Amino acid sequence: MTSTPIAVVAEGLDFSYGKSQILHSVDLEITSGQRVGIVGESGSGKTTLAKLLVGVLRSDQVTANGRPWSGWGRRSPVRRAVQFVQQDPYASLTPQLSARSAVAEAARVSGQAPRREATAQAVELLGSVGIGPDMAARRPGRLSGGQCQRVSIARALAARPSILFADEPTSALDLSVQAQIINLLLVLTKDQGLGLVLVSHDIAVVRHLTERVVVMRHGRIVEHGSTSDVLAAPQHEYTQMLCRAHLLEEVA
Amino acid sequence: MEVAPGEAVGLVGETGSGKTMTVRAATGLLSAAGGRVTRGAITIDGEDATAATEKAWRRWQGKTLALVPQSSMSSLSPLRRVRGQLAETIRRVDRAVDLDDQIAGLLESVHLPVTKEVLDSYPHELSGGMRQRVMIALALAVKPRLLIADEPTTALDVAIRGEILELFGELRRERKLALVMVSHDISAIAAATDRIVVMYAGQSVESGPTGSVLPDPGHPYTEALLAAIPQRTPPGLPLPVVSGQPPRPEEITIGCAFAPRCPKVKDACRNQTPAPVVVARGGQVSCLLAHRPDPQAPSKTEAKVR
Repeated sequence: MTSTPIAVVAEGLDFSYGKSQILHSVDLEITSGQRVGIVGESGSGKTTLAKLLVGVLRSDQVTANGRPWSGWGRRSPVRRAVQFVQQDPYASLTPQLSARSAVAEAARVSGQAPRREATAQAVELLGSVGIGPDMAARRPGRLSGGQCQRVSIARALAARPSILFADEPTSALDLSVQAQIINLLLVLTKDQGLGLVLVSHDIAVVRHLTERVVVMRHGRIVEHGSTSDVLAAPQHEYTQMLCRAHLLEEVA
Repeated sequence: MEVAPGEAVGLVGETGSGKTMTVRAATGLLSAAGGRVTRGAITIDGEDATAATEKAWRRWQGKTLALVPQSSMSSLSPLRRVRGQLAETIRRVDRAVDLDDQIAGLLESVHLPVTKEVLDSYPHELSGGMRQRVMIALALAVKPRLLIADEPTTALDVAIRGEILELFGELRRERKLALVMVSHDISAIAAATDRIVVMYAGQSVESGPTGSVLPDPGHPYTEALLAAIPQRTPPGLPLPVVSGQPPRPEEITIGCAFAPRCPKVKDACRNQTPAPVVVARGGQVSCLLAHRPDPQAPSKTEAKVR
């Protein structure tokens, strides 16, 4: 995977929607090649933080390779290097576009493929995430949730990113499909060196895919460290609760 | 499958295995979904409900059973406040009751504060956990003896999920409520149910006490499903995945429906439909290999990685 080295940094990041402050002085640095989990309950600010880090939401307290997102042009390699896979696979795909067209469009817009080659490249990318040529011709309505999630991932990969941000990529999927997506992300990250930021409340998935974890509560980072250390000896009360729920699952 | 008074049954299986269809059939919502019963029977309290009229179903839906549908956001009316939603259901069952009293009682039983703020909220103003509680309160408004919950915890985070499962436990103890929980969340099923039914391709392939099926699955499909739980594989290693897709309804012909994907398939599986076999640890397994366990077989925890 050709990739642009990238460092996304949040420094003393505060963020509000109107009057309600969502994030309080968050410090976090993520560089390409790392696999980082952001965990926390609903409303803890984890999705907002992810959106700020990828530049969907803007703040001058977030920089990519030393410059705020507003300072990078639409077509700059730095913008392309960070891609975002949203939570709901159905909602994030255009219903009228076939999987192939959606991925080809992304390859073309990100400047990774001339119009003529975009479709061929899309078919190849979709193949690499397990969507065969006949499936690639289908629109999202005729694909399952797991297949749509694969298409979303292929579309993000079309820009040849260095870091993939994924917001709850498996929470809408059942166990066997979740396992397939986890295995796909393992291949992309561990074997192909793609960076991953996984936003999730599922600590089991985070444990499986990441080497560093950030725990958020009420808009603040309350714990941050290597995934194995944090999960083995959680310091914060909330992390301890998460891990207890996790133990319950191991009994299952 | 059957549910006894006060019992909690978990229904698991992957998307498309027929879990929701089973629930619809058992709640009289099959025809509304464009389906019909082609074989077998639905019995409620000894009465045959298979060919029951809409009117008869309404009687059961009004007091025997209640459904908590999958998506709280799309099943609550976006235009009505919490008070209005509850009032409508309460009046449909009993016109004579004191509305405010009933509403307060229902909210209390699902641990929502009886405040103007909650009563006057529209669904979108509530958190996911609060909406799920309102959905359960709505189901309880008809005073059911059986609550059927379709993926009640899937969209919730860990802490809220624990609270909702606790609430189900409490309702069962206090109201002697029977529960059917449809879920692909195995840990929720483990925590909340006495018995488990595993579905594959529109059939029940295994059933039995939850506490004995989960540690010792009898059907290769159940085994494969459980092996996909991330906690059962060390971090960073690929999870065991069964290749292939479940068959589409028109593809199921003769033999075991799981045979094309089964890691333990034998020739006989492809041309002989397995009948349910009663197994020693309790419950039934529909697998030709079920009654002659191989003593040389690897232990259940060593799932094969492929």
